[in-house]
Amino acid sequence: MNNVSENFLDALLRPELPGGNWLAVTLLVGGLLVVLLRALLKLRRQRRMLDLQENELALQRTASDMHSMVSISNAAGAITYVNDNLLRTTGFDAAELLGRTARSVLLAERDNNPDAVGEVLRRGQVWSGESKLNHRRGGYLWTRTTIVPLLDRKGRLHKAITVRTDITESKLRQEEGPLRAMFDRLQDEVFVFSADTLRLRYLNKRARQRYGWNEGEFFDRPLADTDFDFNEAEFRERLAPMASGETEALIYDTLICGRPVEVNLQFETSILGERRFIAVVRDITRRREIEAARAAFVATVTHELRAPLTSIKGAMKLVASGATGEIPPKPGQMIDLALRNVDRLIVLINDLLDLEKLDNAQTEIRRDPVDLSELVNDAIAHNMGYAQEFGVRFRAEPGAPKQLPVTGDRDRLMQVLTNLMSNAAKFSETGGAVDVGLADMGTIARITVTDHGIGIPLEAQARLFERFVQADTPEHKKRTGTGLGLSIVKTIVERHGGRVGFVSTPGRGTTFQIDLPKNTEELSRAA
Amino acid sequence: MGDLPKILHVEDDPDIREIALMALEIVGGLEVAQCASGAEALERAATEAPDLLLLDVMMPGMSGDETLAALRRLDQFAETPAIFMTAKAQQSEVERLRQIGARDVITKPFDPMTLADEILAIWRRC
Repeated sequence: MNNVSENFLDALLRPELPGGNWLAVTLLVGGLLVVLLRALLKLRRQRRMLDLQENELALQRTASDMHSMVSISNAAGAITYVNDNLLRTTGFDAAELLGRTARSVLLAERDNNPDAVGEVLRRGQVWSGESKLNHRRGGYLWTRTTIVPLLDRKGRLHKAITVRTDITESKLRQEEGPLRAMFDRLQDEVFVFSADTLRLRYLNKRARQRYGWNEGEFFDRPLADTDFDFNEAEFRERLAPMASGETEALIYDTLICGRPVEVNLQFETSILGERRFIAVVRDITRRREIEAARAAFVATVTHELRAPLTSIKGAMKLVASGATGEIPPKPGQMIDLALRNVDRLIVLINDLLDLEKLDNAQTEIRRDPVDLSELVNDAIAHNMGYAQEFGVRFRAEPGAPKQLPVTGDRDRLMQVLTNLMSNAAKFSETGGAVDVGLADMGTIARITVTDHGIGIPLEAQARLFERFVQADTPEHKKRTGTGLGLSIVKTIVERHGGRVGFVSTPGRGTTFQIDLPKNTEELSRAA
Repeated sequence: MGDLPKILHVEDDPDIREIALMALEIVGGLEVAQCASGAEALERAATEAPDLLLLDVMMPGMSGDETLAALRRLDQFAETPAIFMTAKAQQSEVERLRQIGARDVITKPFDPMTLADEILAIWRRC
């Protein structure tokens, strides 16, 4: 066919033919016009295709607008269009998004690797994946995202249309599903609620059964709906140290709908960035019954032990004093030995009874005004017996405030000082000194008791406040007590909302430090 | 009131009665009448005419509380100072006993060498 056309042209242009040149020129011009026309048609076709493509995308966008979040970006990535759905779901205003890149405002995590996404789009390929978006009011939402690139004639990225679908709920189910399934098997009740709004996010099966709520019925209900005695202000106050990051977990006993429960609270941030609490609530009715039985048992045993001890000690004391007649020196020594051990037994019983009382949350800690300055001076006077017994001096450290009022139980605080001072005297060298200090530290009052004695061996330090724990060295065994004194100190201080600590250097001495809150709220919380 | 009061001691434990008797009579030089129960105290109180009541709290039959309440109903003991002896040393228990009419509370085990002095100190405060 080509050969035929060329022959025909040659024939036309042959100069020996009359008028052949004009004909040739006419044909040439005509041919050029045809070529030009074809080029124009092609161009128009391309433009129409581009328009069609844009129209088609616009149609798709319109359709997507109904159900999805849609945005359009220019070649530089700046957002040029956002639909209402996107604004509604993310909480942003159009003005906050337009002209900015998704990366700078909307995208929460860079794990999509926007550079790689850009690369895919520049190649004219569609990108599809999951992305985590910021919510204007904090928190996140997860979306399924498809980005369609629009290339210009030269194949350069012209625009990109992004269509997103909210998959937060399914993402939550996917991430938390196994955990929730596990919670559903628990005998304890599990509540998950927003830290900010105190509205329920999740209840496990056991909790749902208690309230008779189905899966969909509890979401976003106020936590108060779970308990008719719920006091929001009190509850928020309890949560405050966790929400501020001061403590990670909180365990406390309370009543929910009139039944005794132990609440174990953990703070966490959900995959959506929502600050929330997980509360595991355990019914402790049975435990309370056992505790009450144990308390009754200890009280009875203690009483039954004290009665014969009264007789044993009384009888021996009367004999030792000579009230029943003169006794020879050797039997006298034996009676003194027996008396010392009776005294130990009495202290042990008293300590056990004390701990039993203090462990019982029902035992009230008094909330009277107590001047610690006066208390320290009284404690020094009151414990002179120990100073004499161990040949040490109790000294008030200089610089203590003249008055330092706190709220608390004076007798219990005196017991704390007595236990620490008698310990300090016991572990001091004869002729040594025990310093009792008091300082106002702003929100807390600090009491210190320092001895310059044998110190606490490192291996005993970690377990010092445990019951019946005493240092296992001959030096310490010689000066042993009941092993309950420091445990009592810790319990009393903690029930005052305070803390106890110590610093000890073996061979150089020990300082015990008691920090008590000066405000009464701490005490209320602790008690 | 004389210098040294006559004491009515009510205590169910015979050993403790014996120790208290020695502590009060031999060590302290006080006159003491002893009863083993609240019922016996009610019977003998009128004839003994004590100046001071020293009562154990936990006793079978009538408790110390009940014994004091019964004695208070008798005209001659409506105002007689009473001291309780108890093995429960808690402040709350001490306060409870004060509220039902005790002048003071002595905790067990008591020291027989100082018991009489302790009782006299309370007596003199009355």
